[in-house]
Amino acid sequence: MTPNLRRKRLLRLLLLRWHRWCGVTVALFVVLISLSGILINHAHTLGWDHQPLRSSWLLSHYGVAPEVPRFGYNVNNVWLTRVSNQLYWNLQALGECNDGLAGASGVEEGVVAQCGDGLYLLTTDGELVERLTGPPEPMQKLGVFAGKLMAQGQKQIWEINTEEGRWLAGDSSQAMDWIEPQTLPDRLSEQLSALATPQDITWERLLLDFHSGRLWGDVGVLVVDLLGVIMMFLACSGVWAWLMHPKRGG
Amino acid sequence: MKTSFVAIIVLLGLCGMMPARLSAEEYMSQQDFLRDVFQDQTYLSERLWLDPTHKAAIKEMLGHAYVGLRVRYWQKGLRTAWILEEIGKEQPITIGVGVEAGQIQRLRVLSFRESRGGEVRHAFFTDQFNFVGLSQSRDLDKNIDGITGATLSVRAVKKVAKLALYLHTLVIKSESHDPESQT
Repeated sequence: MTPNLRRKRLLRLLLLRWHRWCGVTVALFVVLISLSGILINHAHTLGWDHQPLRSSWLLSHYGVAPEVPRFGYNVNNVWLTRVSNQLYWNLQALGECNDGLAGASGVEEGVVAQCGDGLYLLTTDGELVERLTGPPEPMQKLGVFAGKLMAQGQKQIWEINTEEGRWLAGDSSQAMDWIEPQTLPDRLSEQLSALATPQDITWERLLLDFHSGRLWGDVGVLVVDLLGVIMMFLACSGVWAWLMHPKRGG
Repeated sequence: MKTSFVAIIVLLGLCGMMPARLSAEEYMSQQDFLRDVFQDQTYLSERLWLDPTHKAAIKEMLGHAYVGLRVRYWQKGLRTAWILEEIGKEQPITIGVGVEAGQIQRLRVLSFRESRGGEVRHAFFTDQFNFVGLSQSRDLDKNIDGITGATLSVRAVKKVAKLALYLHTLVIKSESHDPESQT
């Protein structure tokens, strides 16, 4: 055997060895990615593009925990509640309500609901008049004193001027009775919990994130990238080894 | 060689559980924006009530109904400032727009909550809106260059720009019809 032929044969054997080990290593992942790819192709037919995830374990991967609201504010027989960062008028979602629901009360203009990050002005029918944003600090409590709408922030008390849409520094030395939350009826609590499940995280979304590795964050994406590189190596090494087979004059 | 393959398997198995989380970035407070628009002069807080005609026009511009019976704005003379929100892909973007003489004087992204597309907050993009007005067909009268990978955020900012310009015209029109506002 000539030195050149010997070298080629050794190279072919080395390549085959790497080919085998890579194949064994990624075999399971290839099967999983192929399966998920096939399912993604047919997600619409299966209805998975509209079916939201309900499993709390799966939702936890998206940072979503199921929430069961226990407390709210009853204003003229209407419950104002905050569930999954949304403000609800009974079962009607009104909009974002971040950093907690500090309180809700009837006022001359209608109803107000103070979220940590803004104030909702509503009609008595629950229609949104205006949402005031940009409070000076997150608000924690709401009250009405001497005809004035007051809010307790983390650092001080504020008077809410709905005309000008501002929170003005109030008298922090004055003792006040703040509006306290009340226990929600069980039925309403269950209904709100069901409503608050995100509708946009679907089974299709889960499949796509699994297929791309995004389900496991940046590391998962890099791993899938690595799998792709290994599979390319398998394809190339397999073809090369086939071409270099002695029977083909390699 | 066996060791290296074992290492690969371990790496593949040790995928970190890092769910993607959104974080709201506030780039400018409302107060700072208003100070910037009115150049430290005093201004008044006003409210514009929307009638069905206005709401229909706004729906056509935004592609969805405006939620709310009125819009708050701030005014000094013929200059108005608007702080409006529009959904990018899934989260609202808070945008401040200063308008005078039918043209945008300032446009700033105050808060951004999406995981992608935040390039719209930079001056190279927002400065394009300076001196942009509204055409007869209620479109921006100047072409705005988009940003690759931020299509939805760009679209949201353009919608807010159009809305602010439209609302400004409503304010100016209502003042020109109201003799008391001219005193």
